[in-house]
Amino acid sequence: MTQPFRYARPAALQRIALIAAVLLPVAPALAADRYVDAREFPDQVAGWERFRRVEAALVRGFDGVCGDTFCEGEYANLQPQRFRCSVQASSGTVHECIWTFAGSTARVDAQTGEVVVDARSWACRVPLADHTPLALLLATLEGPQPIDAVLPGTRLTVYDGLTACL
Amino acid sequence: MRTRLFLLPALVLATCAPPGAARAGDYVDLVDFPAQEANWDRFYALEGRLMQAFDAVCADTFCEGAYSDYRVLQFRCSVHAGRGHVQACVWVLAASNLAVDPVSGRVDVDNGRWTCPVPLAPGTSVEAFHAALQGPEVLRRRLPGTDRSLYDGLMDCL
Repeated sequence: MTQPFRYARPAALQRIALIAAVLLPVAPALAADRYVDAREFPDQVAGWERFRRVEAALVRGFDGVCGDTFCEGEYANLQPQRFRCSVQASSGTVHECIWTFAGSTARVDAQTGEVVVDARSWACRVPLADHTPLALLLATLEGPQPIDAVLPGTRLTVYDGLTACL
Repeated sequence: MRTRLFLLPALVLATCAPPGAARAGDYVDLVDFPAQEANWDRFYALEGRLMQAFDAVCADTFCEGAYSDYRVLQFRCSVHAGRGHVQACVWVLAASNLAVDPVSGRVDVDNGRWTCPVPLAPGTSVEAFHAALQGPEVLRRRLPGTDRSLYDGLMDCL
């Protein structure tokens, strides 16, 4: 009766060692997850829709001014792509926000018939003050003209950040 | 005056350049065929329909892959002005992925851009090209003289 027990102990220890070997490398990674996507803060249910509404409002704001501003330059078809912010999970403050854009020009080479394309992408940083709470940033950008709203703790707007970038 | 005389041989050489070298060229933008901006309305209507058609299928096709936000920036074609044949057409597309680095807090940027050729048959006339891209399901329509569609060309590219 003791024999199976004797054989079972090393097997159980092996199993524990195996589980530990699998889990231990993950533990530091979980502990290090200090920053999260703003859409998932404080959790996905609460964060997602609110952030998406703000992103959509910024896109509308950009589309509203593009024709008379950024799109008057070399790239007339500038398009907003993604707007994402990182948040320190423990404090709820924003680390950074990036807004990406793409634009292109194309011309026909009269000699060869080739369509010559110049396509570009931009990653524009929003000029945030350090330690801006996400809740305050979102409340600021939920106003009527989010692109022109003065960002908390600064004298700058999202528009100013784009002017320095595009 | 002495300086001006030195320039004379260069002027003569430029005047005697071989035919074609100094010409404006044989190819024009489809917008400008058969004359400057003559095809403006028809072409931009086509480009708009192509963008809408791409947006309509993207979520279930191209946008299911590495990038979920492909955008058509432009659609452009060149035409051999003398023959009235479409020489080349391209889609210009862009997409962007942003991911938060959980350790540094940095928002990592992965932006992509693509120039995708349309699988046209040589000698496709401007009229046949436009006619083939009328009506619904424009991305799936067979391009004149081929067994391929705009969609096939995008699949090869994205």
